[in-house]
Amino acid sequence: MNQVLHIFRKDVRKHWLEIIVSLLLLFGFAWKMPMIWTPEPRYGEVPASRWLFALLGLSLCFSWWFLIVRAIQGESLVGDRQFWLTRPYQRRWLMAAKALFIIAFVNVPVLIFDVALLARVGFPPWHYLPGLLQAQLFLTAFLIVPVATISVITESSVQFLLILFGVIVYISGLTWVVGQIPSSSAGGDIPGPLVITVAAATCVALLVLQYFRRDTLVSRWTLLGSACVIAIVCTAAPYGRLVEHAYPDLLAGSLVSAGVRIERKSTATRDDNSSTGKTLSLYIPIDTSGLVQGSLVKVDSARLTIYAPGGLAWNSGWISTGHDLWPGLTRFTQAFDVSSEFYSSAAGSAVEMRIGLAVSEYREGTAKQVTLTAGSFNVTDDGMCAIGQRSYSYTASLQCKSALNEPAFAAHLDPMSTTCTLPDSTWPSLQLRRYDGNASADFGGGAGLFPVQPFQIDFGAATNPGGDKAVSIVCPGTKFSIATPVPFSRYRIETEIQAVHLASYRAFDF
Amino acid sequence: MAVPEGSVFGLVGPNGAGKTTAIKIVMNIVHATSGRAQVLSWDSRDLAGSAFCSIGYVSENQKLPEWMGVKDFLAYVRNFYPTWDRELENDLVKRFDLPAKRKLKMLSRGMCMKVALASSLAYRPRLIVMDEPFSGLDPLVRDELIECLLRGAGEATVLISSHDLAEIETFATHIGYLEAGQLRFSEELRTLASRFRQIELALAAPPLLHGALPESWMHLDVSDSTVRFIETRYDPGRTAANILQVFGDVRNATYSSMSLRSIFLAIARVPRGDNV
Repeated sequence: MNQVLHIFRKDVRKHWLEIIVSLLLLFGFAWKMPMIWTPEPRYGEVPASRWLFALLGLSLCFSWWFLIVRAIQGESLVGDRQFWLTRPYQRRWLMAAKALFIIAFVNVPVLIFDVALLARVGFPPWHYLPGLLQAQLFLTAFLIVPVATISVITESSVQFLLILFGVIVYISGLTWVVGQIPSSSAGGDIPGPLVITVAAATCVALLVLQYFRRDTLVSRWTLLGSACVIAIVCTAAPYGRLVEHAYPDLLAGSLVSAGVRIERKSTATRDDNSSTGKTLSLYIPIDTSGLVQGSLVKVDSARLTIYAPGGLAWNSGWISTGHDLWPGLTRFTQAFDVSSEFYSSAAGSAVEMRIGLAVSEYREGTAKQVTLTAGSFNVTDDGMCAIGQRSYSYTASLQCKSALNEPAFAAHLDPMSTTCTLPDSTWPSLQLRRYDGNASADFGGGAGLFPVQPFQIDFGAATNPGGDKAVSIVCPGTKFSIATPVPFSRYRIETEIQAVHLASYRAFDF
Repeated sequence: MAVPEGSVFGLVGPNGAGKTTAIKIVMNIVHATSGRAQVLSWDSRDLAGSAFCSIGYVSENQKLPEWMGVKDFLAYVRNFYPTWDRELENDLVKRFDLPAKRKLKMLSRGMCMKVALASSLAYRPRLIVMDEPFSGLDPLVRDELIECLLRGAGEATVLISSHDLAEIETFATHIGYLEAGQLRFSEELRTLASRFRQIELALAAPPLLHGALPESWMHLDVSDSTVRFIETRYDPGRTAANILQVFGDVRNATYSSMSLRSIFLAIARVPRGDNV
């Protein structure tokens, strides 16, 4: 243990300047953080201060990486000329000393940063201890361990940068190759855990192998082997079947609620020119029905199959979508890029279209009534809001902050119950406004870098019958209800339509 | 190769012979593809951690932490050794005339070697391993280092590699000759010097050589009635008897001792695989 502290003290003496720089960057990052808690003022305009903030965050990550690389390579595990190799270093204490250094100057500052920001917003940090520890885990897993792993198999910063460049090229190349595989965008997260497991096991193996056996050649081959395994897993995964397995066929008599139907269109009202030469877009309007009160359905992915006369067929594979369905919403449009060649062959005749939707259904938990006040108020256990300006608009919405992760929620507001002064009583529509929060975000507050997550509950605005004027419907005293969606079921719905012309679906109907 | 305890063993051989590799294997810096080495009571592959409290290592191409000052470096390594002798450290610093506050990166090569040696002697190791420590140093610094090594080593065993034979000859007690990864011989320096002789014979007439020559003779050179060769197992009685048997009557015979350098040059010209 004495050795751990001794090596640690030496590293602190050596890297004091880098440590101060990284702490100053973290302080600056924390100082500027409230900037991102308010929505951007206008669409398409990013103020210079936001660019500066992004640059600060990037510099902070680089400063940590630099610190980790320099600390580990101070007692380099690669090569045979280092003085420490023939000194009485205990390898396990050396590893512990480097871990202590990283914990002291990366993990602990981030933990303090998280606690300070949570406290500043008004979230009692001790309530979020498990979440804060989870954030540390993400920080370690995604920002520290990969860098430490490359550091133990390289001798210098230049070698580190070369391998890092190789890793970036590998990931970019693999991403591109996987992107060409049908259904990979929808099913890509399914082999994800296997890839993460292989990557994590490789990192741990390399750290242990280098610190305890110092066999760089074996370590580098292990890294290469893991890269090959990951590439094989990612390129050979049967994405389509994985999606179908994860979203079983909707059986008759199921308790799930969604029903869908492709809308029949006869003529194109406005031609769309979005064509890349090899592909062109089809916009398929889909009617939904049967969603019971208290249910939310997220369309995770969709697949279009077209059967043309003469045995011609085309299949889009499963593609990711982002539609949220709820009772009262009766229609949405899904775009597909169809091959131009197939379109030319099939455009002249009536075709059959079949659409599959892979959906996740949620049911709302116990709803809580919230009355808006002039100041900030709690909406969920982890979220507090205030009435503020909507993004890209002059009307108001609820600007909220949550601790660590954006909460999943479903909020309802009856516009007729608004306390805002409306110029004309006919303005609000009679529809119930609702907003579905992200039901799956859980990334440890951005690996500890974003402990306070801003989000909006946007009920929209009341518009005049002409649709050219809008006023806010959220004012102090207005009531709404909010509930947490609970995962209910995942399933696939298939629907088809006969004898339609593709040209009818070239235009996007609003 | 066996290094007797308490000896100063010089491992010599031409560049590329494998001296540094052999030493790195002994110190567990690189792993042998086959074979094994025992260092003190450890298998060299297990040499790590506290085992290095008994072993000092100095190498010409060792990377020291250049950002540290001399004093800081000694203070840093001191903490790893329970047997560190502060008095000896101070004595070595004084004797080597080391600038305590100067950073290692500002020191000359000779000074760096002195720092490395001081940091490897101050804990009184049982074994000191040095890989080409004098390479590229000026004669004055070299002599200083050798003197300090011999004074500071005390009872320790010293294994030192070099291709500078004249230097090794001045203080080594044992010698090993490595060539192309093969150990040609390994023995006490005194024995080696006593068994090699350069012999010159003046004969009455040019010799007629037929039949096998003694195995211990090498580089036989006949020029008219003069014969020169090297006896590798010199023994006054036996060598004289062999000469008489091969050449008969000899008018004059000169037996010259050989320097280590001459011995190695002679050995280097012998085809590999032949015993010397």
